[in-house]
Amino acid sequence: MRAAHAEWTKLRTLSSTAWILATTVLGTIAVSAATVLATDTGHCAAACYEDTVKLSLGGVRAGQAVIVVLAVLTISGEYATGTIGPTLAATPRRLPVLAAKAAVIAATVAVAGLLAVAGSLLAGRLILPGNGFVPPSLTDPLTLRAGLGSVAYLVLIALLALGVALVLRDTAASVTTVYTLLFLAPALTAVVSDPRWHARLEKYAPMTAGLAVQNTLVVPKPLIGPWHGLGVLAAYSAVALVAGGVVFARRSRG
Amino acid sequence: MTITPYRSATTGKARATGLLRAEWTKLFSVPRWTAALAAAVLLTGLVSLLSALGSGDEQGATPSLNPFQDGGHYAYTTLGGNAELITQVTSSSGNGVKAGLMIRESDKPGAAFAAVLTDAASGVHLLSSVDGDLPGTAAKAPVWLKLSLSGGTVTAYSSADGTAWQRVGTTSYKPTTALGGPFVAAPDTTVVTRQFGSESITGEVGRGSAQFEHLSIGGTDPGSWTEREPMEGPAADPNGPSFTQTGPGAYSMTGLGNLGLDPFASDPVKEALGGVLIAAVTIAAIAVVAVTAEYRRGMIRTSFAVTPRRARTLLAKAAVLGGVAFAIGLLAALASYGGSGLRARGVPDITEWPVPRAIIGSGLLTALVAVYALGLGVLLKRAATAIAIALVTLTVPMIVTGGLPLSAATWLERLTPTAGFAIQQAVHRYDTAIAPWAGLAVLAGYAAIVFGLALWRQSRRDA
Repeated sequence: MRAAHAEWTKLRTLSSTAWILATTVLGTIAVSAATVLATDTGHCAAACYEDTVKLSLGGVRAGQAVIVVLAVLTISGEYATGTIGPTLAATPRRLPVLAAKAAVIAATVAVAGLLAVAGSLLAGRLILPGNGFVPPSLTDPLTLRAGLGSVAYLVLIALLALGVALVLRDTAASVTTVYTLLFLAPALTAVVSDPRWHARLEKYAPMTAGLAVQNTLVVPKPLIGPWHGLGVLAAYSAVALVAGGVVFARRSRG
Repeated sequence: MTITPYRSATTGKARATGLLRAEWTKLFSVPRWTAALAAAVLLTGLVSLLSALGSGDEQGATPSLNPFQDGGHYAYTTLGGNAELITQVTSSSGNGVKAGLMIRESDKPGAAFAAVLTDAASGVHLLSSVDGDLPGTAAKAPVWLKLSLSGGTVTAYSSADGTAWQRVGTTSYKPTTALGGPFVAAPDTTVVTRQFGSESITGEVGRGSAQFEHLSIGGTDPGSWTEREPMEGPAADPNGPSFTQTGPGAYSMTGLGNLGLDPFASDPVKEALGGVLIAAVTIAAIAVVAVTAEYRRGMIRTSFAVTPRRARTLLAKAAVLGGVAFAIGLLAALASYGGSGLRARGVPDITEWPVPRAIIGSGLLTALVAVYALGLGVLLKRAATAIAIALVTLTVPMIVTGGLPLSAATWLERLTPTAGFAIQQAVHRYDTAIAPWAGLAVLAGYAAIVFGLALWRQSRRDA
């Protein structure tokens, strides 16, 4: 508990934290609103079958990029400045340090994510009718699943970044690695025309699989179910955290 | 005692090479960065290799860089050898209808062909399965057209009066057999449909008709023409393709479907070079840390103390990083193209234009990415922020456009640094956002602005 309090103090007192969290919330809402604004029913065939919830949550894809920076900096920042020394002197056992860091980051991201997701859904609700769509009910179980699932998505992304940063300990290398892991698959699906590879990338890449939790339509059948998709991302995060934990526990502080 | 002030004995040229060597040494003295560069090239090749070996491609012809739709209607007689086809297209009706003369290997779809035509939208063109689309004058119906086959070469002409001919262009014609006659085709009308949260573009078969007069082969109308078999649908369709004589040497023809470059074909070169993104991302990260590490460790003060003209140090850094990035991008493109070459269907030959443009362009692309990222690193001084901005702006369409209307997605691909990846295009598609060099120019613009701002900021602040 004292370790968690210490982690919270370190996170809270960094001036960058407030900036990053504000950017996450405002950036997510802004990109979501822009996505909804750019979409109308002009080209719809007989019926749109638009997943208005998923559309309203479009900004989560941008918000995750900021969350990655926050999570990576909590680890690599300590190594860069040497704060890791006092941290480990105060709590010599590594596992509680890791658990405290993960818990504090997860809680912080969950709160920021909740604000970002709620803001995005509200923005969607305000903008959608003007573009000819029927806005989604915010209390519908599917809307709640997509919304809370998106918050969980952001938390899992933060934990993934935390694990990678523990292994690499370097800001630049960690941010680049996590971004490549997240964005390479969608980039490749854009240029690869083979349908089997499309399906594989959609189902097993962390970002595309994890965002399946935003689906509220069952037609056309998504390649991966909402919870399965989030499960795939959780597996990536777990592997990264375990690898990071093992490296962190074995290595002397340098 | 007199003190002689110190004057450096080195010349300007020696200083420049010294600066470049200093930056080169700093870059390659970090083993991790060198390893990352090598890993980026390897990973690029590996991704292409895996997707090539894992793809379920059927065996078949190598994907073409001039993918054609071979629709429309045509009538022909067999040409004995060299021949000259002449007609006057007096009128045409239909959206973007194309009417003219065609010489083709056989009546099979996809056979080699060369055609001269007048396009109701854009005038006279020479279309060929070898050279693609060569535009001529802007003349529309009524216009005279001439197609002459002579010793493996087809030459196209157009004329306003049938006596003064203007050359449109020449293309090679290799087949030993030749059918010749008039044709009418109309491009597909594209229909954008939004459903289930994404947009799709489909083509609806176009229809057009045209009147031909003074139709002749070698000066006379052969009289007996064979019509192409209807492509699909019931032959009895009263609105289907037709070819009827309306007078001596005068005919009326209706055709369905397009003869021309297929806007829906996939781009084999862009697909094969998809992995270059890995190299670009790695270079961007290294370019950022190459300067932010100097700020963090205070090395920058030493660098600026040695070369007080800060702009020179930064320019040397940009030159070294840009050069290395060009080499890495080129290697990655070659590895990526080589890996994709193992597909069952293969890739277009590496010497076939515009493949060299796409590959060398990939090198230029990574070089510009390096300069852009370096500029961000100088401006922001912090690795995390600079890398995040560089990578997010570079991959923005990949992360935010899913589900966006195509028009909005297209504008993002035009206006963000991602536009640079357009240099890898080899086929013009319906969703092509920006021309290859124009796209690279957009990225160059970002690099120039950001690096320019960096030079300006750096001369005005503490190191």
